[in-house]
Amino acid sequence: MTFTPVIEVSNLTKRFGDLVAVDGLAFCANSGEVTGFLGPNGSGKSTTLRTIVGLNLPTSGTATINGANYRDLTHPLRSVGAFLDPKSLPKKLRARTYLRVLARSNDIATSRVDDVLDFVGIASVANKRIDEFSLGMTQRLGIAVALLGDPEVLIFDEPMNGLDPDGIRWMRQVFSSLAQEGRTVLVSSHLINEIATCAHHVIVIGRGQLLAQGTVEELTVRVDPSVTFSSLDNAGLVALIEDRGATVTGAGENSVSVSGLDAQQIGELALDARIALTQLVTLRDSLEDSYFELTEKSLDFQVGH
Amino acid sequence: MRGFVSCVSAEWLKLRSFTSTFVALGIFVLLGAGFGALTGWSTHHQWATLQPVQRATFDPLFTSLSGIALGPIALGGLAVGFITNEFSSGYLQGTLLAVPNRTRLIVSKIVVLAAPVALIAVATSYAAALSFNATIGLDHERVVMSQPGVTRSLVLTGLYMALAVTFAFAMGLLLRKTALAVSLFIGIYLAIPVIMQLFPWHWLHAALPYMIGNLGASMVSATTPADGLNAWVATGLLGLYTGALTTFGVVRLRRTSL
Ligand SMILES: Nc1ncnc2c1ncn2[C@@H]1O[C@H](COP(=O)(O)OP(=O)(O)OP(=O)(O)O)[C@@H](O)[C@H]1O
Ligand SMILES: [Mg+2]
Repeated sequence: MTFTPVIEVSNLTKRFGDLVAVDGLAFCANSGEVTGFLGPNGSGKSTTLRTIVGLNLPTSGTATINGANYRDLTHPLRSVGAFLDPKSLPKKLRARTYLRVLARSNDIATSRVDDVLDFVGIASVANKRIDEFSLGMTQRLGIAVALLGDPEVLIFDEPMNGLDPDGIRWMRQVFSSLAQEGRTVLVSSHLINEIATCAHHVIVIGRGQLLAQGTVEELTVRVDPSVTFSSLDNAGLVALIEDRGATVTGAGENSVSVSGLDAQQIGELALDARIALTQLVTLRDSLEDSYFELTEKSLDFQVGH
Repeated sequence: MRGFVSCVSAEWLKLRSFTSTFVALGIFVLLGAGFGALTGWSTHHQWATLQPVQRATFDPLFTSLSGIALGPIALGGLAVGFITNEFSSGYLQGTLLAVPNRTRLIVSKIVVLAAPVALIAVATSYAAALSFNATIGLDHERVVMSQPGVTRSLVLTGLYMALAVTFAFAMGLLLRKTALAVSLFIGIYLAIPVIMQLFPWHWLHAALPYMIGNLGASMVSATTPADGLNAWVATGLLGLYTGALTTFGVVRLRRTSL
């Protein structure tokens, strides 16, 4: 399978008056992949996604899908399916009626309405008015709306909000299988664990700027791993380690944690100094830790300690 | 063009799916036709008490269509809500995802709103004239369909209502708030002409024929009213107001982030 950039955001800036919501942001989302779009509250995720689908006009820069501006597409639902906000559903209409309205607006076969309702599992309640839907049903209807035109590109803004664990697992599977079919899936979240298991590629932003991007693996190792050891002469080994410019991050009764040197380097130091090691472990930060570390400095709303 | 046709068809389905659409249209038809019957019946009973000058200038067609003057009030809320509800409850976003061409969306909405209103208004004005004839009795002056100007009146009644709902819709597009747009529309339509008459200034009175309601009266009557404009001039002016307001609304919508 080839991965080609489909959604391209380049040098995107969006201001609301004095507030810079998105600040020179650039990234791509490729076909055949689930791209996770992460950032704390207020970091500009929704603003970016809304700009990609033409709801916001960029202050400068571009956001294109297959090289085109969303606003220039004639029947966009056939190539791009997006569900950004439960408010975008007309509450007074029945779910099935609304899907039929959307199908008509983009010249999509009416039979697709029942197909997507079945697929997301809300066919039995599709004749209810949308305002009678539970949160979970609403999110499923959102997926149905996005899938209606059988599009190659899918964009979701925090689609797992309010879903129970079952619903979250179901939605992850949906995203994975859509990507497996070769589609481009861009999903935002402020919880990294929510999408870590299904995202191939992760983009992290803070205060509208790109903080990091890469595979989930790459993001996890980006933060310095810390190594913990115990030896027959901890003090002597610590002195040698500090000579090499590494720092001691923690010292227990018998063990010492160090960052700046990896396990192999510490092993070699101990061997050269003829200090016997009794324990040597690399503690890789969890994905969530590295995410916290990345976004810490860009939190807009920090809880007082 | 392909995009336009599918958008019209979708907006039509949406409009038909709101119960309030039928309530508003039902009230309009009842008012229009009901006033035809009511004015016929009341003329029949009060003819003897009318002044000679009132008898001489009695215009059966215009009298039978008095309910039409209430049309913009019956339909204004429907027209305003067709766009303000999209703003206030947020589903305009969903609509714009499906139809990102905002000019196309607004034109389609106006088509599905104004075309049926025009047809229903023409039918209602026929019904009003016929029920007027039915209740006024045989010994009074009735609406004669074959008289010059009568068909034109009935057709322009349809056009008047189509333009009036488009005007109300454009106000909703600009103001985005249902209550604000409805009250301002009714204010412009009803209150401002009354206020203008309260001031003793000639130049202000001279502006009266250019207000929406007076333009509508000129369009609806078969003859040019004494202090009013010619029907076609009135049609053109109301078209101009409506076109300008709509264009302004569309241009603004295209430039906003939403
Ligand atoms: N229409 C608007 N007018 C003014 N400011 C806005 C508008 N939309 C967003 N903002 C501001 O832009 C910033 C980014 O908001 P955005 O909704 O994109 O963040 P987010 O990453 O989606 O956050 P969350 O995780 O809470 O959904 C915020 O400070 C927000 O207040
Ligand atoms: Mg958001």
